[in-house]
Amino acid sequence: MTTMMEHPAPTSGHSPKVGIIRHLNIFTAFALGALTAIVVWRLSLSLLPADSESAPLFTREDKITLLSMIGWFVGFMTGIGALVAPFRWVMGKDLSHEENMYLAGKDMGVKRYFRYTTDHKVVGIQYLVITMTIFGMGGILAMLIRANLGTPEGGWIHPQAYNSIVGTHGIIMIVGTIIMVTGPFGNYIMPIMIGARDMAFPRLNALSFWLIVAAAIPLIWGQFIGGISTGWSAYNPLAGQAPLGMNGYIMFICIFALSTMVAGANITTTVVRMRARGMTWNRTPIFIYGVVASVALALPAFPVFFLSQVMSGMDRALGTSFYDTARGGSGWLYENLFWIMGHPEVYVILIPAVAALMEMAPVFTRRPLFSFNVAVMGIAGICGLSVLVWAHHMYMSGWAPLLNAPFMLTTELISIPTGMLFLVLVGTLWRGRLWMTVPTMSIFALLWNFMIGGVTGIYLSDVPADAFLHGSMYVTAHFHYTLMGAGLTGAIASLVYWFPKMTGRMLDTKLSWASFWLVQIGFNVAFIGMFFVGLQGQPRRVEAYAAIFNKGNLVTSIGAATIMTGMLILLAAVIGSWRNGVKASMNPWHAKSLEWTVPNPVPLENFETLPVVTEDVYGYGRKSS
Amino acid sequence: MPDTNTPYFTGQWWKRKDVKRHAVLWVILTALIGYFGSEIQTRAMGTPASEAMENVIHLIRIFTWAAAPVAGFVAAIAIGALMGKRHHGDFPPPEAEHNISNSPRTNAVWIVISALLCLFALVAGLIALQKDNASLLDAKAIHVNVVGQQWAWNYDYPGTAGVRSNVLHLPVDRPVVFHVTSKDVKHSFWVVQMGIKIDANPGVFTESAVTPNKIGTFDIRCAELCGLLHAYMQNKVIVESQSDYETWLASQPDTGKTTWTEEKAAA
Amino acid sequence: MNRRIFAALTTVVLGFGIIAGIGTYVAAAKNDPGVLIAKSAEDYTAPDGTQYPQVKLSLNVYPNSLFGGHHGAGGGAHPDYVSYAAGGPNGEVLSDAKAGTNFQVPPHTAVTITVYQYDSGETLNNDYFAHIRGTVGGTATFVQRWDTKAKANASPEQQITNIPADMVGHTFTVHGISDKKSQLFVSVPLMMSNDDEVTAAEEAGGYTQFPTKTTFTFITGDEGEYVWNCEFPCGDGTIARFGAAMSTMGYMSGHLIVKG
Repeated sequence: MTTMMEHPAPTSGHSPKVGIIRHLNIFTAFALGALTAIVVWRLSLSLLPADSESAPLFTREDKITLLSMIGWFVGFMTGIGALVAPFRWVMGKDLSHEENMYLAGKDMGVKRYFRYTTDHKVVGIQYLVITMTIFGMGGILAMLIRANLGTPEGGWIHPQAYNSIVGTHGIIMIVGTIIMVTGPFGNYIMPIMIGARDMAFPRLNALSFWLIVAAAIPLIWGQFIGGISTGWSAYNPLAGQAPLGMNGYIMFICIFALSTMVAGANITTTVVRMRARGMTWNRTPIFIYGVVASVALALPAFPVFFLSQVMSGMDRALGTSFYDTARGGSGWLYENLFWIMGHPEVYVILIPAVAALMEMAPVFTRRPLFSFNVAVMGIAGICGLSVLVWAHHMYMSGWAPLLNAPFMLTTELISIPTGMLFLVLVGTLWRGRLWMTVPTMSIFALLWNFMIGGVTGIYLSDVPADAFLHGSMYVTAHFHYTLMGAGLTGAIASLVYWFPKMTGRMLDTKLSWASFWLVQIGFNVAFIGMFFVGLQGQPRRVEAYAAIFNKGNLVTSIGAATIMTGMLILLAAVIGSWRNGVKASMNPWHAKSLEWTVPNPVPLENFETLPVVTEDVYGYGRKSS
Repeated sequence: MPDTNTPYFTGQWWKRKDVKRHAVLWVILTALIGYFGSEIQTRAMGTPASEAMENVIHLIRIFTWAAAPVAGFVAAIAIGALMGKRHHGDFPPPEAEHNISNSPRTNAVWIVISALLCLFALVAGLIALQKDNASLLDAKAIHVNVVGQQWAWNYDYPGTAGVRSNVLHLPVDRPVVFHVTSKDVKHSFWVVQMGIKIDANPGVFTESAVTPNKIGTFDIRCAELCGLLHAYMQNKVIVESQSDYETWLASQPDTGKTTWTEEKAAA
Repeated sequence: MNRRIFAALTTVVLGFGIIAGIGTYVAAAKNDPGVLIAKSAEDYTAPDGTQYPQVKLSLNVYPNSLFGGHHGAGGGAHPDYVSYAAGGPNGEVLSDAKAGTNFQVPPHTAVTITVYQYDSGETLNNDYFAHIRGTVGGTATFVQRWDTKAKANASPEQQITNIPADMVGHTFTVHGISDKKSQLFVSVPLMMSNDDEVTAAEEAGGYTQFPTKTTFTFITGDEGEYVWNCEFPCGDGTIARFGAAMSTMGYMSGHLIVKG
């Protein structure tokens, strides 16, 4: 894409009414963002007063860093064109039809992927690419962590960089997993699946994507000014003490939380208001429930995360003391705010991935989904309970020992709706005819990994057992089993399943099988090794450890390299198949949901005439008399 | 596999061949999962050095056994499905011979069983939690003040002239209450083989209690990321007989002060 | 070979290549200086009569990184950070020292370290570290004023077990991971230099002529990797004063490698 100019030549084909929008794209965004950041940086450098030597905290550098990052953010969003439409609306001159079609990327070819394009399919592809990029970066960091933990002394990467790598790996993988299903598939597939022409708020859709791009830069920036040395949870007061890089984390989270809120409002409205005629809630595919549950859960969670980071930033840059105990604040306040986001958030990740596999299970077993109502009840139950369990991350914090028992209750209750999801999957497998594809095997992989993740979760939910396990590698292995073993498995299955619709080509079978087995075997080797060292007593987030943990860590490192190999093969399969894979038919899996009724490539507004749903989407299996 | 001529879904379900096969699988898998799941985990945890740790091991064992039937059930159906007819190729297999989309009885049984297991886990946990909480109030306990700071622990022994050390010494079979605090950021005081842990928070005291019941040397590790040298924030705890403990206390130099007092701990 | 498989293998090789490249970059980007190997000296006889081979290290502690140490011309990236650095045999300021926070010493050896402390000081947040711990005899040899020009004591030398907790400049505290090997814990408080002299010297563009001098000996155990850091909170303007220089390798913390 290097041939794209910063000043695209005005093409005669477009109406002159399409004003400044035509000139805005990713390049103007980056240019304006960088320019604004530099200007703000210079100005604040010369205008801000020096810190008093007697002040408890020196905040000038934090102010400068945060202001520059805000400058970047405002510049970038202006440069990409996010402000054009609101500005025009305020001026009383709303966008014309031509302009809206231009924004949707009509007849624009590949350039539309580099603009503020509102077409949900473009946004879906953009999300897919950025998710893969995030996983690539997170994977590289994971490999650095594992390489460093190959020997007890560590020392290949020194402690400061190591802590920063652990924190960055954590937060970007969390972000990657949050968007991995609802981003690409929730945007590309979901509107077609419900029989809509686009999202309810197409411009908000573009906004939610470009906010993530805008957020990425402060995080990368932070790596070069001290890094994120606090782990992904960025506990205060440690985060208050950390180097300037923490400001990158703070900005990253604030912008990402905005993106999540925007996407959440958009997707929820779309599903509630824009389903095709005849698609009653009983006929709405379970994947739609998963996506809506996920983003609806994010709606209350992420504003709290946003708030927690704003306060963290104020502590750093303005010298407030929300979290600084020495000056009257409380670290427990941060922990509460963080986990009020943090525990719903794991289900934000998990639910759509499991729902996607539930969506695929009937297709590949050629029989109806078992107990649709129980699946919906399970998803709803998890959503409801997950906002009441946050303090199980704080059993050992000393915050409120008396609340340990009630939080143990709510946490263990969540195993009931989780069990319902298992029932639906095994019920669907029972007496189905297996069509052996990667998504099919992913269902089995999910059952295996999620079972291990779920059962170890029960030990951790138990306060006395948690007194031993909390803060150890056991916890790390546990949440990798749920988020990666269950979540990412579901996302990769979704990629294989919907790849034909999104790209018009089939994903290479041999390579995706090779990748599947390498990833799953590597994953189990890696994280069973990690469970083992956790039980032996290795704390999390250490760059060096006692010699007794060496064997388990070595096993984990070997497993991690296997996962990486598998993932790279998947990457090769995706790139290769996207460019010149076998052309896919309109409905290669012979599925019955609406997204398979539109041609490849999917036309701009999906449907010529809006469909009317008259049948059960899971109507497989011979009618028994 | 059922004969295509006779309808499968008639007659008593428990007499069907594949149901029986799955039942056998279920029993075998439950036993295997329960045994290996609990054995491997409890072996890795090593020898416990306190009753609290014995409780942890016990809880993990019973939770594993309680979860084993569920895991075994899911595994049995999964294996059964994989052992059945598998179809390869670019086109789908013929649709299944039935279109069952619900079974209220199965749903009800499943939900009731999972609720009972959940209740069981909760009760077992509450009993163990109660034991741990009660130990905080033991009147015979000795009290040790634990100070975490970036990247060191030290311990002082109230009731002595001002003995402080970086290696924790404890008498065997005597309850001990730790009053844990931090000088800077959060740390987490983890006595590994005794199965207890409590965060060290700046400005406040948190409490945890344990009764060591084995003589030996064990590990204390910081379990909360606390900055640059977090990995090295570790010590030993030496559990010794009452007389050895007293000898050690007497041999320590009088440093004049302790940082812990009853009033501070009560505040 | 099938083109697809070839492409996949290429991706795998490239991917691991990129990881190795980034890893090498990150590993090389540590502003952590090289390892200083302690110099052998005459054998050491402990008070109980045991003979040990001996190595010696001479270290300086500076109130900033401007004029001495290993952070490059003008103090490098953080000229205002307090810092340890390798010093000359008589406490001379070495402006081009290549190391100063990572040390290598042999196992089962007496390690004698002399620290010339050029910084002023204040009160410790934990007076536990005002006491000398883990050295031979629990003591250190202390000179309150060492004259760097005359290379002689400007005040009498004395054996100490502790210093006042409100007169601490920095500490040298060695610790390690809890494992089966023998444990090493050494903590020595380093008394502050005269406040006015430190300030005056800084204004004049250098370090005080009269640092404090502390010499102590400890016996190493098995081979292993330990770390040391300063337990005096000297990262001004950060929470608990433990950020900045205190949380950056190569200033107030480093590795002590026991290897023979």
